[in-house]
Amino acid sequence: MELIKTIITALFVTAVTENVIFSRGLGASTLVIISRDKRNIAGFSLCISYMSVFTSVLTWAIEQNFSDDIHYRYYKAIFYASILCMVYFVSLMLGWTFMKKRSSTIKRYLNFSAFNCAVMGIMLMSSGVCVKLSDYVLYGLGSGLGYSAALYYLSAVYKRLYSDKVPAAFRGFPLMMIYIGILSMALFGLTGYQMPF
Amino acid sequence: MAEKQNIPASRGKVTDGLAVKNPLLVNGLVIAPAVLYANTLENALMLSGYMSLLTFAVLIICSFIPRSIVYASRIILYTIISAIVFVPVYMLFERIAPEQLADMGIFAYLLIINPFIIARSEVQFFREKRGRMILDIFFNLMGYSLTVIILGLIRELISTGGLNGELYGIKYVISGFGFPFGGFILIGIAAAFLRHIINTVRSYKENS
Repeated sequence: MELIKTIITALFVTAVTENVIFSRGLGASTLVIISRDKRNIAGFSLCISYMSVFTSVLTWAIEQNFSDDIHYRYYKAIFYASILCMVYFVSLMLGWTFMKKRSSTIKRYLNFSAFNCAVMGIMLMSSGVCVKLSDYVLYGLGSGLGYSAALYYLSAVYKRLYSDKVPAAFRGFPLMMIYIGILSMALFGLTGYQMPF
Repeated sequence: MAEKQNIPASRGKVTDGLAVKNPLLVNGLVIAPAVLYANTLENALMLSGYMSLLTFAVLIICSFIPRSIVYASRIILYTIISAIVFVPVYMLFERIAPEQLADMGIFAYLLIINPFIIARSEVQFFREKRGRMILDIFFNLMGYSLTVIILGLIRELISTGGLNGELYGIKYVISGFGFPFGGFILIGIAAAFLRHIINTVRSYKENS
């Protein structure tokens, strides 16, 4: 029972209150592009959750072995970049070998999600807050789900944000930023901001 | 096997990156550090310097990678090169501004896969001739940096009532603009403002 509680809490925190988009804006540039087509949501969500979980697991392995080194801060980026490239390459190969018919779609999703700031951000943040392997997995999964939720929220209103009824200056990207800002403000309230009086 | 490259190089003025195709306010590139980190003038200056140096160096080196190599391999090479270039840039900033670099936190690492390197390079910069490419990269980074600096200045003034700890007697401050949601909203308003100016200038030119 305790384990289930921990899993639910960890997933809720990473997916909602510590949402990568609404609390840190990570991967917002890609989100703007992906949310244009609702058909992308399921595939991209799956892909980014998969990427974040697997890269988090490899991040755990790296952190366990190298984080104590005094020069680690210099070559940390090389390790993390290598993890991203490795997971990307292996996934491409797997897609090409086992799902040949869908390999072009998989490739498109992988291109967008592998080199996305959200995935790299999840790796970097998890190294700061997680200790055990299970923490890394939960953090990766929760953050991936959070990104998927943000993608859904955005694609749900995409047509309205680009509607002709919106003044030309605010149509599209500017309004999208304001919309994300308002959602971010609402979620920020959940974390317990105290009034100064 | 090399992929077909049918998309022509982008046209327009080389200075478009400053305003008309501003990377942050028009194309929505590298939003996260601008929203979360650049909430003061000092942070904005740090982000601009660090990001510009890293991105410029990486793009120049990566431009020598032949386009005959498949996209998947090219993108892997860009990422690895970026991670390698990161080391001297990080060391340099550790000497120049160690405290500010520490404050950057994850963004110091995150910028190695910024959209200028991963996406813009492929669809715009590397399709141009080298001379124009260098100017285009320069003006795009300049456009991003100027925007981040102006937004950082406005955010610090609105959220704290001063700059760099010095207060200017502004009576009503809105501390929310220092938070990420304030950053998103301000970028949205600034993007709308820039678009309005561009549209106004364009229609004025057409009419005259």
